[in-house]
Amino acid sequence: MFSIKLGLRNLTRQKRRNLITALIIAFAFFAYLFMDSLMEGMEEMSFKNIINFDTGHIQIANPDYWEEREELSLNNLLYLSPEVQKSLQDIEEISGVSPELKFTATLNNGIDEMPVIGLGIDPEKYKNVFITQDYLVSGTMISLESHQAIMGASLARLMDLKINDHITLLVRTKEETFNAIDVEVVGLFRTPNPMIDGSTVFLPLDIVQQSLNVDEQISLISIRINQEKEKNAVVENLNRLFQEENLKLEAYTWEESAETVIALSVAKKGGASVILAVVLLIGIVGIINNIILSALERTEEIGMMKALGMKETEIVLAFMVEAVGIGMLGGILGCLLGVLGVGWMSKYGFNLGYLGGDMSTYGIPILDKIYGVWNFPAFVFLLFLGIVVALFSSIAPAWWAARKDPVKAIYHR
Amino acid sequence: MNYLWNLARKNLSRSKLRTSISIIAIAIAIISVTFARGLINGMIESTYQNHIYYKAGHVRVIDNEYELKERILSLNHSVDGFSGEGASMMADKLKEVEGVTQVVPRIKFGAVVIQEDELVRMLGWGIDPAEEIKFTQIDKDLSEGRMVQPGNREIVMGSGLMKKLNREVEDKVTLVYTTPYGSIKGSTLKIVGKIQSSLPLINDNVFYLPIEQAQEMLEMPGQVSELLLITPDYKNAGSVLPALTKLFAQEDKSNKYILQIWDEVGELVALFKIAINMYNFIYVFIIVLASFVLINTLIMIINERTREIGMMTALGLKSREILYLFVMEGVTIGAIGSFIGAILGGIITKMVSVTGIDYSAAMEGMSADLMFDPIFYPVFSLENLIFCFFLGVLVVTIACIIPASKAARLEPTEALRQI
Repeated sequence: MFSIKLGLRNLTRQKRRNLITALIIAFAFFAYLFMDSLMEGMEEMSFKNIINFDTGHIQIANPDYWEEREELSLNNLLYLSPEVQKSLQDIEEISGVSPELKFTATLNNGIDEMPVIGLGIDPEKYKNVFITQDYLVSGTMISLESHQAIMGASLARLMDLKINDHITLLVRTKEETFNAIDVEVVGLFRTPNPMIDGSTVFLPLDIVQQSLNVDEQISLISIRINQEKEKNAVVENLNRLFQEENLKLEAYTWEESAETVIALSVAKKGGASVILAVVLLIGIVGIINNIILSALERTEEIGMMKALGMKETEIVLAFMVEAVGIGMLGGILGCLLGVLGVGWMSKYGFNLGYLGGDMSTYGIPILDKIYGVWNFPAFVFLLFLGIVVALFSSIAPAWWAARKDPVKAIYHR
Repeated sequence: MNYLWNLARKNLSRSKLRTSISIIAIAIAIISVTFARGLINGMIESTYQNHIYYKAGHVRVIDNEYELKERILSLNHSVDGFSGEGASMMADKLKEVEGVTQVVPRIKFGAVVIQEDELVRMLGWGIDPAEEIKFTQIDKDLSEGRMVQPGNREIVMGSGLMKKLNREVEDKVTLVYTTPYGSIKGSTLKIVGKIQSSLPLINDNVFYLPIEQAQEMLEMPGQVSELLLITPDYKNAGSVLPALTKLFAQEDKSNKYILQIWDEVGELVALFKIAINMYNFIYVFIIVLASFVLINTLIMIINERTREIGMMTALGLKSREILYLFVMEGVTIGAIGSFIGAILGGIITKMVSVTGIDYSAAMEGMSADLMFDPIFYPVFSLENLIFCFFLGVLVVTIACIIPASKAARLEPTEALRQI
């Protein structure tokens, strides 16, 4: 007990030095918390943009199609009988089921042409899963059985298209013959997901099915569920259902379709951790330095205490208590700074536009501002990390200080 | 001054342990800064180089409406020379301009190949083989066959694209494309070479063909998409602008063309410049934190020697000299730490620059337009080592002034009384 008291007392002896060492740790933590919050915010937003505009929570497809879903081929499509569709809708957790037919097409405005992704949807069902229709900046949503299309405003600008213009989509049907779909642009949207805005044209599902000659087939089904965290349970349920019905179908969570985005954010988080590690390493050296300096200053004291019968372990303990105090102080200061920084970030946000234009090129489906996210586990983790780091880095120098010969120590030679 | 150096040196050896801990702290910071800077410089340099090679040149001449339509590879806004005299005449005139060492013409268009049941989309680049080899040394990336020759109906393509098409060198391939007049045409050409590139754009998307061939196929005689002007040094590309502007003011009466320096093409370079500033901030931040350790040590040294300082001042040492003395002690530690750090950081950089760091998995989601090489090779350069060394010394020196000025301000009478 005495050692602990001594350690705590000693902590207040060199206030400035201890504060400086604590500041190293505090700054390291602050930098980490700030970057972590920014990245979590970026991640959360891009995940939202994927779920709300691209995949929904769960997608169902033929496993062979899923393997090569990037190719958007018209093979391995699926057909959903009304009964199965009904049983899907009857599952309690599911709030929306949207069939989709994806295909590659060449968009032609009469002068130029460019490759786009065509997406056949049933607007009534689509709106139960996605929110693209809420982002129309002009015109209306498409409806079934009419030759209409909507597209992103940026795509329209690139192709010099306005509402009520007619466009031609050049496609290849399932039998590998060419076909053209003539449609009227009835609406333009501007969503926060640049991948959808820049290269996707939405068309009524039945028109697409006729033009591609695929009967009633679709590429995949997107599903929205009430509680995002239940997605794995729902996926299991669905897969069991498909097995019972003997259907060659499989359900996938949105995470499986967004693998590349996830890989990217993992890589970026690695970057933040490296900076944390480097600064913490300096913090460790700082704590070691601190203890050595204190020990040098108190050589005579240590010698005296040893002469009076204090054990080496007790001296070590006193130094370790001092170090842990510094680690704690640094951790608390860092977290306080972090609260300020993250608070500012989550309130005012950070406009990616300042960094120069379109982040979609970098694989981040975000337009607009990103906001910081409170990541409380990170705060708790860092508080503990501060203490643990201080504790371990103090052991060696504390032993070095305690092992001095009392006689020599008192003479300070 | 000399005796101050001697004094500083002797003082530093009083507690070797204490001194070496501060040196280690500075060294750790400089090692990380040296390595990080080498890595980031490597990434930026290779990206800039790719950007210049495959997109921007040093200065780019394009039709003023082409920039907007570049993404869709529009052929309706081409470069056809001053008042329609043809691109090659224009290139000759541009070559005359002082500072322009080379003019590289390119015609870029979209094409598809119908492959069993799918359409493979690709980018066709009509090029002048001699100019292209001189500029980008693309022939070094040829893993099989040879480069295209002027006038022949032949193409060279990336290995990724060939795999997608299931073709080998010597095979024939039928391309379908649209002319500027909107008619769809097809041509069959022979593959004469295979390019192996780590750049996804070149490896998986692009095929090269002779420019005359492309012009004939697309019915665009004498026209190109862009003319890339090469100067002796890309960092100095702006210096040819005045002469070029003069030529264009004379010849280009209708203001059809615009000139773009490489760092104005696309948004990439502007973004990188911001990133570089952010990284510079992080470097300084890390070194400042390491200096905290040193400041602690200096404060203790000063406390320990308060009586000495008092005595020296009483004996006539000026407060400016006291300041120098402590700054010298700090700077010595900073210089030794920075030196060790720069050397060790350089060794690590050198080691990693051989293997490279593979980011392919994380980069998969990125668009192929981006000129990122997915394997980063840090560059080992003396410039980097020297820069990091001096950055370390500079930051440490500034940091030392705070405790040293405190020592210099001590009153001799007060200081001598301290126990």
